[in-house]
Amino acid sequence: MHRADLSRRRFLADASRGLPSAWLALRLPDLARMHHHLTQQPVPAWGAPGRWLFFTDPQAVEVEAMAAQILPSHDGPGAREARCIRFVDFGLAKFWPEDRPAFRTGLRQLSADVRAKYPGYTRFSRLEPNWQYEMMSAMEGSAFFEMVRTYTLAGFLCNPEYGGNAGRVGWKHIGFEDRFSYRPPFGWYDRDENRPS
Amino acid sequence: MHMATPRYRPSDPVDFLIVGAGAAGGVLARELSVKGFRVVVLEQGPYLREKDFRHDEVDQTYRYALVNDPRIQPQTFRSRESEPSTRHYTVQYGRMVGGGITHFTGNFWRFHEIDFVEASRRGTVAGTGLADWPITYQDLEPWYTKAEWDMGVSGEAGTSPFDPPHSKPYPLPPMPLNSCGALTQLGARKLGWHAFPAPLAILSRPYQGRSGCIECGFCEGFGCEVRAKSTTLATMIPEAEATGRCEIRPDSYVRRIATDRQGRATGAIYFDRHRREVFQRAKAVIVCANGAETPRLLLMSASSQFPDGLANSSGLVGKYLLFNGYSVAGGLFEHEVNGHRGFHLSHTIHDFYELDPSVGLSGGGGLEFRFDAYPIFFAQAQLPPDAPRWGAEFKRLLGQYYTHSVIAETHTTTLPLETNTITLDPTLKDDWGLPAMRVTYSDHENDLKLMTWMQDRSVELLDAAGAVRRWRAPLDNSSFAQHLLGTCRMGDDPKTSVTDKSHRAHDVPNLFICSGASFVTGGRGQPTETICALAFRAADEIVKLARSGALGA
Repeated sequence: MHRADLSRRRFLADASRGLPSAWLALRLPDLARMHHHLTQQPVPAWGAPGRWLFFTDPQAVEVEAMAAQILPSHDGPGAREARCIRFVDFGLAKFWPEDRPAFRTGLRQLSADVRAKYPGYTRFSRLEPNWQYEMMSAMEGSAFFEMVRTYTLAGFLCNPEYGGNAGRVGWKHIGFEDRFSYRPPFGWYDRDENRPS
Repeated sequence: MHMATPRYRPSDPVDFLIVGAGAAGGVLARELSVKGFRVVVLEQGPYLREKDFRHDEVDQTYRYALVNDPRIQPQTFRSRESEPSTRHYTVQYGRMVGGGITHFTGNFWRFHEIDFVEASRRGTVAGTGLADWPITYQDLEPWYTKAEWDMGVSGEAGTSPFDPPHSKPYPLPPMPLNSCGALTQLGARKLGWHAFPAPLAILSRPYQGRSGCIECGFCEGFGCEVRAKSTTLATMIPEAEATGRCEIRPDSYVRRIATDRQGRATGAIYFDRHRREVFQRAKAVIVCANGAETPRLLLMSASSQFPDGLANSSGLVGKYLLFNGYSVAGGLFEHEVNGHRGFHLSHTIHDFYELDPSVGLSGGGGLEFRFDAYPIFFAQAQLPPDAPRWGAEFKRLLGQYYTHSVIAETHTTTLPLETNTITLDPTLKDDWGLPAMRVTYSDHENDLKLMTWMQDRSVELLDAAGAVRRWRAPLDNSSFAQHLLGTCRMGDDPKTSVTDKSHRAHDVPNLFICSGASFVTGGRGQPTETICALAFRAADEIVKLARSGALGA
């Protein structure tokens, strides 16, 4: 299964805007062929809002609440704004069926732990934020926690076609850009004026 | 002018059957078909082209797009023979036409003279299999040069005072300086070390009709979309096919090398893409299936005539498995490094290629700053070990460190140990019903000390370069490797080696083994150019043997 890579389009848009086009043309004799190839990619349709592919609604709410503890939103877009949960749902439905039982078991255990610790509550997502934080701290290192963490980080920083990293908020947060072509200077230290003579 | 690619019938005994279309198999396919021989190359992975490569970390890292998938080809691991083995993904290799060189980083280091004669020059180490190669640097030098010019390498020979002699400069100037390289230079100068432009199998300019690098930043782990990486997929394999005599047969998973009553190889039995068995006949067989799959295949080819596995009268098939040693440290800098922009590194340091005897350790290595962490992997594992792993502070650090840090990596020797092995798992099977690979591996004390010693140097380099914060990744026993070396070592004595110095199996006159498996020692962490150079040299030897009639009917 192959997906289009939107960044390829941006790369070509950059190139055709003439940004580094002379430089590119010099280095890339087959630019025209590449252009043809890259623009032939089908437009992906994943990650559009809609029904869940794997989760039930309550399951998705629970996992998203955990993801929001891992990458909170109060200082800028976090797991919720990146729509990490759509990546998790898509991944479990399509790519990693072997992880489904661990998610189901982990969510059942989470509910049991919530009931035991906070009588009257059944769902992690309904707990006060500081209670959620405490529960997450207690869970860190467990197999379920690590799995949710792995999926959340992948959902924050994956190619947007997978449904996560919506609006590229994850990439913007870390300062990554999939621009397909860079030219020197790349960073501060390789600028001529910053190098010792 | 491209000839039509031939389609040989399985019953047609081609001149050479090559198992594995990677760094070695691709070179041999090209060299032999150019010289007029009829060649079939069986590759277990798919035939992907540049148009199939994506900047997609999920696909590459988490879905095994270009490597062996442990869900269908499981492995087991134990650190010692006395321990039970458990299912574990230890060995990763390129599973595609082009093999691992397709998605390697691009580091193209020649071995130095010392790598071939370490045992006699610096002394053996008790309890290890450290030995001299049956060939020297001088024997291989013309083939390093040929690899560099036929495939396309950027660099500046002689800029490192530790460089071995080059009969010709590199064909292309070095890749541009980046901030990792500038910091490597800065630190090295303060310490009196010698940073030099890393030799890279990446085109700094267009070469032989291929594109120059456009600095997209997706080298390690990814295929190059513009053919600027000098892989066998971009260079050797199309040239082999253009002869009209070489058929590359992808999705062909070899399960056995067949032999006749005279003990000669007659071809290979493989599963095709529909998992049907096919027997391709050949006059000679060349196994180029890396240091892990090569011994597995030879062991799976056991018969009443070769009860311990094919070509294994020495008992050494699968033994002396070598992974390269490495260590990782990290540093945060005041200004932007932006290591994700463009190629991962530009300069490297060879001051510790050979250690001063006062250090008291065997071997040596290289080191440099680089940044080869893609976004997801970075967030998973590249912050300092004492940083929070989730929550507001974790998120803040992600935002600060991605653009402002370097990874200080060292690459070191490991000692060949008879107890480090590839064997067949006695119970676990893969999806085709073949015995799973069992890896037994434990680092020698010298090698763990060497990794620590080199990590100390990388921390010094971080301090000298002005890191505002630096950290060490914990060093652990090796349990994951992509550099798979040494399991069918070459040598002059059939009792202590699997092939002779022409890569011919001592036991089977028309069977050759050429890949990382052929290595007697593992070098200083960058084996790929030596694999290619060995393959160029092996092709020359094999052609001479074939033309002299020494390969028989």
